[in-house]
Amino acid sequence: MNGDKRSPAALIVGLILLIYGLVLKRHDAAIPPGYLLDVATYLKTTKEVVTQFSVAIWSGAIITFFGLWNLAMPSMNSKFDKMVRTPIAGVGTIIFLAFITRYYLEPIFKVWGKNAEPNLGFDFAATFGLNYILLGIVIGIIWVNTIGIPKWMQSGVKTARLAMKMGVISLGAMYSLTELRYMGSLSIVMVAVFVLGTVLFVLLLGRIMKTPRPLTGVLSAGLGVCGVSAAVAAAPVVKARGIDMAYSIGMLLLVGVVGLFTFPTIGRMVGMNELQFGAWAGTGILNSAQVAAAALIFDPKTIETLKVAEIFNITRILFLPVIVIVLAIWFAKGEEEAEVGKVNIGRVLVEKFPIFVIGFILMFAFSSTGIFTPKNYELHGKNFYNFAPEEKKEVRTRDLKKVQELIDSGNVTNPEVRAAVEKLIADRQVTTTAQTDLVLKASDFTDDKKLKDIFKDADKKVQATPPTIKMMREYMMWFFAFGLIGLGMQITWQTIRQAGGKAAVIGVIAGFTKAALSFLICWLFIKGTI
Amino acid sequence: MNMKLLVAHDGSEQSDKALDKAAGLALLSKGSIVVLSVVPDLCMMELSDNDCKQMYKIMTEESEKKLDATKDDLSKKGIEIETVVKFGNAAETIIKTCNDRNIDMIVIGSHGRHGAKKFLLGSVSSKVVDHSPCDVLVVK
Repeated sequence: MNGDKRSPAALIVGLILLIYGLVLKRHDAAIPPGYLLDVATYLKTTKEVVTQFSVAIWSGAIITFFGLWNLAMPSMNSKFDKMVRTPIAGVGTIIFLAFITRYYLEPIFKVWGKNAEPNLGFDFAATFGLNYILLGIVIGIIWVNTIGIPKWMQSGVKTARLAMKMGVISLGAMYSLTELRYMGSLSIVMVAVFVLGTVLFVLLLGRIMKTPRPLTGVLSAGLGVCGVSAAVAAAPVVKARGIDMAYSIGMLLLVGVVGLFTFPTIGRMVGMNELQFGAWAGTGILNSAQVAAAALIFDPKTIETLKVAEIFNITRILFLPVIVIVLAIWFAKGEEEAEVGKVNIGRVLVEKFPIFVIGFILMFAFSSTGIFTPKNYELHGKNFYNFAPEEKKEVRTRDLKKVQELIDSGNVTNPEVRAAVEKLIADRQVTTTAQTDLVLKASDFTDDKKLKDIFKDADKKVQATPPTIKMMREYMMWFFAFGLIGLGMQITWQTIRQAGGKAAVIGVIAGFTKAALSFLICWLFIKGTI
Repeated sequence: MNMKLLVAHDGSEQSDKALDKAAGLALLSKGSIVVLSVVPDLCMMELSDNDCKQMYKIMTEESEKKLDATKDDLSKKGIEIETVVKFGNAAETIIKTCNDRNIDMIVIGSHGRHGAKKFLLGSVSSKVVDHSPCDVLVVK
């Protein structure tokens, strides 16, 4: 892009970020900058000022550096220029938008939601989940469909895909083995049923509605597996024409966008937990990036929903080669000249294997060796624990007395639980992962809400996230925030309006059925928590 | 005078008419024709570079195939003809091609595949008329 021109865009964006960071840094000075802090106090973002400062300074400095370089020397065709120097202006703009949504728009909606609650009867910001993830996507959509993406930003927007993948890869560090095993087995069952079910359902619909076979094939992959990318992957084996792809892609994008905006609100209204919603989003939403988006809109604070949803999404993507092969066989059967031999199954498996999944698995393997977890920290279930004796982890004497009374009453019949609780009384704090599980179980032996809270607190007091993981989580959220603004910028009316004809009918029927059925199954049958 | 004509072709009946008209003009003026098919750019974040390339390949081959017969036909009549397939927004791409290739006149159907008949001009053709620096012939 911008071939031989020396573009000042990156320099301007970089300087804006840098100046913002420096102004924040001087926030204790009396005049102009002081206002920023007043704003932050009003928006209740004062706690995040330090993060804002460091991200703004670092990204600003880097982007300004490349901005100067871009101005001094025109971008060439080298790989480095294409990957780094050309996109940098767009990257900076998206980072800037992420700032605005995360530290200004989301907080202001929060304040407005609270202010309007007495009149409306509900907090609209909380109900519709107007958090920075959603707002970022909406800004992206509005931007691309009104002013459009200027040339100097285009290659930057394309890096959103990479950012999302990086986000997913770093997410790999956040799982424990038990979690992965549990979610993995759940997802394989759910995904297998829904992928195969949807593919067969769409093939049947296609036969009933007499749509051309290539179109039916592309649609079934897209609706069954993982949206647009599956549709394109299946295109060659069913000999899809351009028009089939255009119809399917427009429709898959549309159904996905509708899901992305409705799922989180529905999930919140019926009170789904993280596991239920993550499983539902990972099964029912069509496109990969939209799954992550929905999970984060539902729950942007912790990453538990995202963790579940991504496992489902990855499982689904792994099914893609299987479906491509199934479709190849289905298509060949209907053709006069059988061309079954043409599909090279081995090649399909290799070509369609998503490389980022390897990164994800490697990251998981790395983190389970404990390199990100310093001494004293343990990952157990979904939480990190630190059992080193510390005064702030101790249960209050008054509460311990109450616990002692429970033990004395003889109501705790399970000897293991009893021993664990007695040890808690002796040590004043929990000291092992096995003990914390047993202490949590102790609340089954009492109806006293106060006691139940004491046990929960005893567990919470020893929970601690290692600083490295905290930092990784923060960076990961930036990857996702970045990627999802980029996602919004690629939801164009131009693409959606390609949807039409019978493809749209099949898409709406199958998409809705899949969403509704998976909702029922997740809501009614998934009872556990992570 | 050798006119260089740009025909915007989307496979619709109207665009076939535009091509006929252009052929007539080219014969008269001993000119040449560039037939441009603009295919919507459906490449997006969900798709890897390879996926996008695959999609472009399918769409390009298809558009070229569609025009092959016409191409032979016109070449036989002695008209120099070139077919081009591009991805992106139709109106913008047509205008850009006209600029890049020093076109004398754009020939375009009054409405294309998506053309709503209730409008006098399709959205693409009216945009081209509004924004093009070249002359535009709208075929009805």
